[in-house]
Amino acid sequence: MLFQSQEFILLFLPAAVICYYGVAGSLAVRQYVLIAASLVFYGWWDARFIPLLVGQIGATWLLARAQQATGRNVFLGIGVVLNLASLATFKYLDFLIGSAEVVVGIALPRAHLVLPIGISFFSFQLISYLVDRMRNDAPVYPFRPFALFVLLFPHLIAGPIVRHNELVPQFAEDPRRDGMWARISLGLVLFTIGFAKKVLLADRLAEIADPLFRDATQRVLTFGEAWSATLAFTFQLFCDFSGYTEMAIGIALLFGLLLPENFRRPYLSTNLREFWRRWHISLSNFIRDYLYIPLGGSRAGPVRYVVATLVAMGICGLWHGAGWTYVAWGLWHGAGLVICRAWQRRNRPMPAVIGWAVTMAFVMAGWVLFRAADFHTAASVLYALVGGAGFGGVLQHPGLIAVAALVSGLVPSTHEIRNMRPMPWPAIAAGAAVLAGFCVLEVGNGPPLNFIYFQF
Amino acid sequence: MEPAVIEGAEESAPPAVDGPAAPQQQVWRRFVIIFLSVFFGGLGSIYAFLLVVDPYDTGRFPTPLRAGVFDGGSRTANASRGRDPSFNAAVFGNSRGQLLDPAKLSEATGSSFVQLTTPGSGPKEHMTMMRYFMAHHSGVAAMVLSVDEMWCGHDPPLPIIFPFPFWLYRGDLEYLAHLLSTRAITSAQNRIKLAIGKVPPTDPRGYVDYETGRARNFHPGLAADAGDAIPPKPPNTYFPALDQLDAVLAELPPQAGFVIVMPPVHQTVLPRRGTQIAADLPACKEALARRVAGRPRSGFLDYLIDGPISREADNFMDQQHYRMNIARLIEARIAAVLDAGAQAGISR
Repeated sequence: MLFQSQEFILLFLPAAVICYYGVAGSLAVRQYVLIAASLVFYGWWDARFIPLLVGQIGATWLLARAQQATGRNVFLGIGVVLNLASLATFKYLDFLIGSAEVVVGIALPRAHLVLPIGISFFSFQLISYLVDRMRNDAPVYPFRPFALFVLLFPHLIAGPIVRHNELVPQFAEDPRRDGMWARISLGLVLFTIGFAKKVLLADRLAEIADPLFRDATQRVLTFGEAWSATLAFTFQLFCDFSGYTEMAIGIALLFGLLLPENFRRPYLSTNLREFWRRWHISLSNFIRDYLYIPLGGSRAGPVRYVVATLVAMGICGLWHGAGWTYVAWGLWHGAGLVICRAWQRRNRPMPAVIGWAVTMAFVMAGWVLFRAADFHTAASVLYALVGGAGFGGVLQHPGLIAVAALVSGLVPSTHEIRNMRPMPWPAIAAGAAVLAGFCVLEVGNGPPLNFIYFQF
Repeated sequence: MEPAVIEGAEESAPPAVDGPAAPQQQVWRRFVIIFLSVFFGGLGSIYAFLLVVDPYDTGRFPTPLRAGVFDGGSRTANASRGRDPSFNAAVFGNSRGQLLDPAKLSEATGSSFVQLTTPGSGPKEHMTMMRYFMAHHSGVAAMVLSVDEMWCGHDPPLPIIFPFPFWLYRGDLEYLAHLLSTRAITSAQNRIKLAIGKVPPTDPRGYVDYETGRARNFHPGLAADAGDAIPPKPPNTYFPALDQLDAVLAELPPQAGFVIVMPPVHQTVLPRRGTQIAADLPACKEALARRVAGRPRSGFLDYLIDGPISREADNFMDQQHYRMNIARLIEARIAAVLDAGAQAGISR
């Protein structure tokens, strides 16, 4: 069940909200309602993986309890290994086998395991909790709020990655407390913004980018096609992922909960370090706190800094997908961050416009690597982008790309909107409702049915 | 990553979830009420409108509008044609069966034919349409099924190539769950325009002539290597589509004629020796012939062979789509089977 599906918006979400507020007076019952709703939400995807999800949560909690009872951190280490093993098995096993195959030169059998949806997100959240326990930075919570911290359906599938101390304390707060209507209003508006970005922009940009990147596996794109594919994917990715996050934050607000911000208009960044403070913030914070700093960060000498940055970003790339192109994308950004920092240390700042252009060019080149099916295709698209195959072709759907660019740059982030303290004007409520309703109707179309099929 | 160590520190601060002061609660409450009223009220009204107008003319619920649609897309327009009581026979398949003219078939057989082919479709869509047609016609006289290599596939779920609105042809609940869309609103508008005479109805017989008036630009090139040197693969005789076809045929009245046609393609795209499909095709054809064996007014017409038709480029619009002269030939053969009740089995 996708956030943007009709069954979610018209049935599941209203039912969950009504049930939740119907029992809001009881802390335990309203938490059970959210847990039950989250399990139904997850099971809608694939009920076979509910035992895995609940098993990882239960095992992590029991190991934390064991550590609390015995004082032995080895239990926490076992928990980290268990969660990593689950992630490695389901997400990376075939990738590792394939990589080993290249090294040894012998065909090896593949596992062909189905990837449990959201495993990267819930595994990382459980690992972060265990590491925080090791650092004496996390209590052992009762099982119910602990399970809910992981299961909560607004963030369960695709984040934002939430840390226990950002969410668990909120569960105790009565959702009917002061500001309930304002929170629900804000939630509805944020959900609508994200919904519109996903349905009206991201999905339409995908119709440009997908066939072109597919074609690029077979032939060299023209200059116009390469720019169409790259720009479309650049804004598709942002509108898709930030749209999803806005929907998640909006839904959580309907339940009186605030999730952390995940995007802060990243395409306005004037350098790469700033980009990573604005792009997928919850993941970059996780990578920073649980990889980069433990690897030495920037305070253990320049060599250690370079190694820590490259390793952290390489793993960040691998987290996005089990493939070497993702690793290369992470290393590309790692190298960029190192260069950016070295430049900034020279105290000769680049003019903002040039800095923005360089940053966007760097980021877009990275997206080509991220999106392409393989290195050869990525190289082919990059070659076409710089005019290697000539300067033919035209930019496809420039109007749509321009609108997406404007939305990416001008629409404030969720927390910027929240901090603006928007006014409760009826026109905004009616306008947002019309936009949300139109998106529901658009979603109802499903994929295009009547297409041009040669001339028949 | 590094600067976020310092500058991103505020991200870890406990979030504030405060709302505005209490006096403002009423206006925020009104904001929520307006949003929900417009959202659910608007969508509810649209849904009720769509139920009344019946945008695809499915006839599931009473409507004041007359039958028929203004819709150039066969995937949706066939919902109206497939239930039209003026027909008692139909052609199913994809674009390779599209040039079979229902008017000519009707004239030659005495039955009343409608075209229910869908471009870019496969067995799953064809059987869905066959069931839909049978569900709306108690006295089916004949059905013609145009099949291609997809029917000889081995994947039980019967993969589809392009999206198809199965919900439009199945149960009422599935239909109701998929009704709310801008496409349905557009179709509803067209239904109203049709009702007030602003637009003409789309051909209720569903015939699309893809040859007349179109430039033919077919350059077949050299025939592919026959692959004589390649050893043939062992055939895979598991054809799940044909197993599922048995269940569909069980619903067809015993007296109804049923003709399976395997249309011709240009010789350059005939299955090459050494490929899996070349190995499977003879067994698949035998299995298709068995489906009509013993059935009155039924037969299997196999044109997917290397012969005079496939060798002549003038017979084709492109490698896979025959021209009008071949369509007339196939129609005549179909009529002969339905009229005379040809010997069931492979007929070439």
